[in-house]
Amino acid sequence: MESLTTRINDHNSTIKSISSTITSMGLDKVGRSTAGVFVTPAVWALDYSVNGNSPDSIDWSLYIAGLSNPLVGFATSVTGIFKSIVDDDTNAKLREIQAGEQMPYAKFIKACYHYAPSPAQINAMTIANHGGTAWQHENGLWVYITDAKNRMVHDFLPRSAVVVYQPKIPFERDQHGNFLWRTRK
Amino acid sequence: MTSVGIFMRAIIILLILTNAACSPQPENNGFDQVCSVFEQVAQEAKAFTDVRELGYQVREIVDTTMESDDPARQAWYAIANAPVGEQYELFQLAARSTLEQDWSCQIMADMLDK
Repeated sequence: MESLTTRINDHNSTIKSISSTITSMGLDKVGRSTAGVFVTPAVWALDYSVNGNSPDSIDWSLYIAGLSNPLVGFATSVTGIFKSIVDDDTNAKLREIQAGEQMPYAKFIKACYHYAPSPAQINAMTIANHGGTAWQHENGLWVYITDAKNRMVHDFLPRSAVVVYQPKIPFERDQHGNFLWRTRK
Repeated sequence: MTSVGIFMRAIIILLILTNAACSPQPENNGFDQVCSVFEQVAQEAKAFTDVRELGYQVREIVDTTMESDDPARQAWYAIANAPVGEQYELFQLAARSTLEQDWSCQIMADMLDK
């Protein structure tokens, strides 16, 4: 949940438009008692139809909490709404980053938020530690890149980055098999 | 007040309550635990000439004392392989991104940034 809290803070300006978003999604018409059950799957369906994304682990935990406890349900549905808006904002920023990179590579750029439950910046460090390239774009989003088989790419040079984390060349590995890495600004 | 207005107010109140309940507590967070590990290691060995060796010793203690999904533990795993001289600053950035407040550990700064 820490990661979600961080994400909400990271996307504060987008969250401020929540009223219109909730209204536009038709969620103000959803009955409160059923909101916990129906809202999040609706968000998933929307996300899937627009972006092709399937529910991630946070979605599932929110949905299960909402199903099993009616009191928690409403709170989790609210959190689900916020998460969906943050996801939308993340996806918009990701599309901006992908649009700025060369086409063969662009579609393999992903948001660090989805790598692991830790905050994105820690995930970015972990990705470099695992032999990949992660960077913070000027729009604030932390991203990383894989190849078509989901393997880490160690030497990608993003066109626009505030800071890049990637393995040190020549490679050096620690006793746990992880890579020594460097920062580049 | 319309039902939409009531709904929106309920959302704002619930968000505040949920956010407060989920906010990390400043006491006993994982980053402070890592700081304590440095204090422990510093007491056991007065001087380290190899910062990487220090990092591995800290990791051994962190492995046995902290939850595997603790962001501080994840941060230390990654930062132990970051450039010497930048590790403390990176760990601070990781702490700030998690705790959403300033964080410092003098013993860690002294031992890592020499």
